[in-house]
Amino acid sequence: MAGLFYEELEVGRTYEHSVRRTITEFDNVLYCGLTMCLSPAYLDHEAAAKSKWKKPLVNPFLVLSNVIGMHVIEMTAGTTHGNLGMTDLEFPVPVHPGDTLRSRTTIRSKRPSKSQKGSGIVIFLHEGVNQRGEVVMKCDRAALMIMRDGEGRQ
Amino acid sequence: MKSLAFEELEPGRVYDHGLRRTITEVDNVGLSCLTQNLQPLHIDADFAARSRWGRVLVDSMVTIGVIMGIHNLELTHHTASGELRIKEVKFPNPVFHGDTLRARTTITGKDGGPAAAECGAVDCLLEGFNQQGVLVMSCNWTQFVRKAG
Repeated sequence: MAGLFYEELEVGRTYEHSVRRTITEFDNVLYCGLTMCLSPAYLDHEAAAKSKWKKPLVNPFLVLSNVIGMHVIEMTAGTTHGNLGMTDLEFPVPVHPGDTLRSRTTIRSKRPSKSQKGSGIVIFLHEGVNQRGEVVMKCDRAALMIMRDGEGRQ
Repeated sequence: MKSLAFEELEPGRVYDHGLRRTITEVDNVGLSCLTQNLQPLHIDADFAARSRWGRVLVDSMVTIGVIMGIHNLELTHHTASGELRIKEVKFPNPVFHGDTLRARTTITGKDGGPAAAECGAVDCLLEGFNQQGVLVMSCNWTQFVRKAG
């Protein structure tokens, strides 16, 4: 597996992920459909033309999913028990269909879990960046990461 | 379903949303792969069977998307500006294929800002529960909702 174990994640280090992705209208419409989101801000070109952005927004939860998704194959694939939660999630710049996103992750802190032997809680700062270098999303996320010899290692 | 304007969203009010949703394999594997989330816990049934969960774990980004979708459909789909920020999200319990989720919104505060502003900030606690009533997601967030004005 390509993910990093708890011991391999260096506090303070920033990882620039190689996965990039143009967020298409297909992504946005499909995502809104599967999550039953009907907002005209994301789906209705006529309504969106009258908004302050003059065009549809990408559903922010699709932005979140992509930015988190982009780090997985390089950092947590096969080395985590799961996501515990996020704090301070912001979308400072809107994303529109056609924007190309990349992602970077900084390790904020880590500590061994008291209750779950062989794993530790790692706080990641995830940032999504568009083709102009603007940060479009950021959040802190806590994950339960597996240690090299921890239960759950495969 | 009628969306509520900023003025209609009253702090203290609790909305138990009627729409429920069974999370299927299509939702989880489809959305995980659509968003480059190639975590084997979400897309590799053999790997997941040998993990602590014993079966495929639903991507928490799918859970938050569906719970937000239920909220949006029943309260603000026409009045939400699309701008939002989230103070805290927790996923205290796992979601698996076949689980049926429901959602509850509690309005915790609001701030209309300047009288001329088109939107006001509404603070919400949004909770997601599975078919056993177990809390699978809680989220404290603020969304900007259009005024009736």
